[in-house]
Amino acid sequence: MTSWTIAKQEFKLALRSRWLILMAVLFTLLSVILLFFGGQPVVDGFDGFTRQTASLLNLSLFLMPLLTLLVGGMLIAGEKEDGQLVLYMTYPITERAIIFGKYIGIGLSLLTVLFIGYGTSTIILLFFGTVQWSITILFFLISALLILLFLSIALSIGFFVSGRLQALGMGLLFWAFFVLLYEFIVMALSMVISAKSVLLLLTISVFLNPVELIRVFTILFLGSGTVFGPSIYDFTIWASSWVGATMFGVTALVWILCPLGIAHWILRGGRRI
Amino acid sequence: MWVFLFLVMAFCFSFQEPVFAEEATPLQPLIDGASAGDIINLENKTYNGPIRIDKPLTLQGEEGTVIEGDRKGDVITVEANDVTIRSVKINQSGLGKQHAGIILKKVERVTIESNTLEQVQNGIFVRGGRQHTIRDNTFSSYDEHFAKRGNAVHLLATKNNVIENNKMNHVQDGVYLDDATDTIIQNNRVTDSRYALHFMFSREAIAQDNQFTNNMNGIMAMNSEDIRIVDNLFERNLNYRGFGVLIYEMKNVDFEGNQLLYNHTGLEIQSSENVIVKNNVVAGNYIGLASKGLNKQVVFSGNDMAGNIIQAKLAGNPIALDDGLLGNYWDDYRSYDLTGNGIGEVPYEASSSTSDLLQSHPHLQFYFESPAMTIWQSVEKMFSNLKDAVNIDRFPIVK
Repeated sequence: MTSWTIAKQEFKLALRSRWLILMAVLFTLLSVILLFFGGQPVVDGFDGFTRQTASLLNLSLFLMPLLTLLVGGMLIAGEKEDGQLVLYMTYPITERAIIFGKYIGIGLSLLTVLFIGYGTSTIILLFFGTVQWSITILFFLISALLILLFLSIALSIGFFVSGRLQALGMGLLFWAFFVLLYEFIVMALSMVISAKSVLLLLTISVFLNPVELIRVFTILFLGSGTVFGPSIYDFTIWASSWVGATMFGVTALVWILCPLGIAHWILRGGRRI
Repeated sequence: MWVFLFLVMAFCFSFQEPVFAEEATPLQPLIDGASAGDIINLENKTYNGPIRIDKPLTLQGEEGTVIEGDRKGDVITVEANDVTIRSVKINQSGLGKQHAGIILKKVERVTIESNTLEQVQNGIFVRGGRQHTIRDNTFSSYDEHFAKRGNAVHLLATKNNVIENNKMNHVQDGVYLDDATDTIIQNNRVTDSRYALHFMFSREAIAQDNQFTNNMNGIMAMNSEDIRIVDNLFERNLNYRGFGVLIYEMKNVDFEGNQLLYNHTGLEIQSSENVIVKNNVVAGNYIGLASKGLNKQVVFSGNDMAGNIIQAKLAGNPIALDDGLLGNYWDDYRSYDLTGNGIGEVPYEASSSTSDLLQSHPHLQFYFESPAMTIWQSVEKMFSNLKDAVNIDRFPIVK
């Protein structure tokens, strides 16, 4: 028995369950809003980063982590509650294989739903003749990346807590921290430390939070690094270079692998199973 | 012995000959020899300046015609009416005392077209006179800091001039209007200079369809009146104290249909009277609209305000952000049009504590419209008191 078996089983279970249909509807709605409004320039002759692009990006930044944290955490915690996880542990399979299997299985089902959502909305918009492929692909990739990054955090939450309700609570707590509180904390810090170290603080802060990672690199990817302003020009230049891009990739990978490692550690320790 | 001398002479001539060939032809005798109304066709070679034109003449160049100054004074001095200078390259004026490629001294109806003026301090200096046409020329000044360069076109105490389709690059000011009346400035492109257009004590000018990119200021308009600025593009005037357009102590300005993109400050209005700013696009600037001092009868309406980090920085006495029926489109306006007339039901307040915060802590721009900033602004809107607000748009456009 390998992680692939687990992944296949997880995928099948997911396809049968009802939450998936609900999420498909939600993603479709979300992507219709994103693509419909994102594809239309409000102001003639100006195609830079506007508050409209920003609010569309924010919609993804708010919703994707929330949905992933809740779904991922509750699924694992649910299996724990129902005793399924204990059952897995009696099979000849390593903890690592279970974790990777779960990650791949749930990840694939979420991405499938996301794909269905974006696919449906693209088809809907095709009837109105206003599909902008670059925007469609960009927002799909942002959402997919957010799912992959937050799923591993969701899994370690799931393995850590003892039941669905706790998973819900902790999921919300993590979401609030990453999406809502984190920026305020960094802003507050940046106003008390010396002006010289502000640039360093901001640079580090980007890599310590997947939401920031996606936000900043999406804006850079759109070629709109100038909205960050002249005071952190050095960062913008650095992050737009290939070194910055590599850092982005490596950090994203670390954000996927680290929480999975923690999950592994929890599972190995046999904590609260 | 004779043979030896002959050889020496031959040797010397063989060196001197190419020097003679490279020497430029003096142009002044050609002009002195011509009679009024003549057309002087210049050949594909370099002519020696400086020259004085004191009768109605046409100087017609061809490809490769160069009139070269002596790097001391003006290259061409025009002292007669109805002179035309066409298709020549003019260079090497003096540097330091307002020297020019072409100077027009109290004359009328001079046409200067399709010329290239480079390595001159000022391009064309118009002193007095009227009814000149400056068209299809290319200008650039000496490769110095802009404080040492001159203007592409300098209009001083002159009337009824047309300046169109010119390209001006790397000069001090593109067109400098000093005590100029009734000037038409259209379809010009000014880049990498100090001010693209500079109005001082002038009146009745229209600037339309020009493109001003990468200068310190697009237009510096000071102490002038009855100026129309229509359908121009002001782009990437990014200097820290750079403006798309600065309107300072002006009277009767019509500013319509322009695009102000990616400037440090899009439009600033200071101590001016009767300024109508209508249907412009002000986008991607650090500060979209700024005002200072005592402004009277300034109306700002029908404009698109999008992607400016700070939409409006309004000091001094309040200016009208709507014309009584219609306001502007603000991309940070967060209310709705319930009646379907294209106008939001809640007034837009054009200053916020976020923009104050940005001005005191510029690095916070890193969080431009980020999730946290959005929440901050929403909370602020919830508790804001529009009754106390001074700078409001009562009829914000909803798209």
